[in-house]
Amino acid sequence: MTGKGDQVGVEAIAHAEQDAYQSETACCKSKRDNGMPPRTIVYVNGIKTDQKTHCETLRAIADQTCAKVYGVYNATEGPYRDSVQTGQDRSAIDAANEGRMPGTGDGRNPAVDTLSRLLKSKVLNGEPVDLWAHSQGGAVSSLALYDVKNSLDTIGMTDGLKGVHVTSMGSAAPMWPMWPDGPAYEHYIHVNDATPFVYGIGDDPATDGDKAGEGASVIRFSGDPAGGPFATENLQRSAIPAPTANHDVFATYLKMQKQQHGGCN
Amino acid sequence: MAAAIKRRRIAVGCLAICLEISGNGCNGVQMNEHSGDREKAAALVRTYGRHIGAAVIELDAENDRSFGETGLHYDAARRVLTGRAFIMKLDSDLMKPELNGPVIVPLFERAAGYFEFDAAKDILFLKKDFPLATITERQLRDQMDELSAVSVKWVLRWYGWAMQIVYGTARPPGAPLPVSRANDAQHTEFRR
Repeated sequence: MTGKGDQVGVEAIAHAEQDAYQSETACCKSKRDNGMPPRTIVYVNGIKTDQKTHCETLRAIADQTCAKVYGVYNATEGPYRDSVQTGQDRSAIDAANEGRMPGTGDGRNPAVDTLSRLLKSKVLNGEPVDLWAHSQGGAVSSLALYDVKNSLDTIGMTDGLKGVHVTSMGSAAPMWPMWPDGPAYEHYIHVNDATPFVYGIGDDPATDGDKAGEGASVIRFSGDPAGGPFATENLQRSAIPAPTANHDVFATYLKMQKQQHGGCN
Repeated sequence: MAAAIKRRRIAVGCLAICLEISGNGCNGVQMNEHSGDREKAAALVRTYGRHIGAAVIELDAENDRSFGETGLHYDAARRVLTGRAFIMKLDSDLMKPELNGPVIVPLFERAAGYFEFDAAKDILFLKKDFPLATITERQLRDQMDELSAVSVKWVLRWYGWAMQIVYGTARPPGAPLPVSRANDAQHTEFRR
């Protein structure tokens, strides 16, 4: 939905939602025919994701969940600039944690503004929000949630984020306080995925209460994405988490989400 | 008739000159004193821009330069360079004046700045004025860094708390909050 530097209005967001992808697989049709409640998911991608892959992810989520799915496209500018931007999105929260100064050069990721506008519109209309994010999309999402929370706090709506459900997958959302209290969270972390290990919630359950958002469910798992089911107990941790091998949204995280909740496809 | 036209032309000419001078302060001595302000402001903006690695570091025609989450504005009338740090977008002027009031100000660090809603941009900023007569490049850089760091604290930790204090739904912190990692425990105090 967004290119870097583009602004997206509420009308465009509403239009995107109307055009959301809905799976027409036999499995999903059957579920809908049998009374599956309507569900709409908004998805924010991570770095190095071209638009084609973004759309493929939306379809995969839709096929798995049978929900209507649309996306906030966090556009890629190539690995180097994406990485720099991830650093900048993260820097705001890192700075708060460390007392360091954020190295902002070109401001916030426009996807943050787009998502913030979307979330605020939904919350103020009393609509539930089902937000999914992968990798850098987690950093985008956490900042957007802070923006919305602050806006709602301004008008005294302290419980405004209660209707938001967040599913983060290998998220790069930064150091404490990573996710604002309010939404219901489900965080998926492959314990040998370097991104959430280094940049995200990390591998220490003892710190989840501070980092993951109040009442969050953090699902740590291990195993070969190409192998059988992932393990959620007796986790096998490698000495050094892999930079990319366990980070894929399809092979690792959607697979694990399906293992937890079931689904079609 | 010709003399009348000539007198009229002279009068208009004088008026134009006066207006021109007025536009620059209409005070010869003052104009000379302040004539270097914009150049100094521009130099300060360039220095800060380089410091944060910005691609565009020149004051624009509106005497402004945005760097994304921070920005600088040269106010010729007040002879200040005003730094700003992004807090959040607001749909309209919903800013609570209490943010700059006696209950909140002593409790939460503002880097000696003040909150101001920019109606043209629909953005709430934390701002700070730097007098051009005295500010140095080093001071500007350090104080903008501080303003930026404090603004992040507000975005992520203090704003919601301050609002809840304003609305009477949360207790204020036991002691004023400095900008340091030690705030973590105090934030936890709020959550509990």
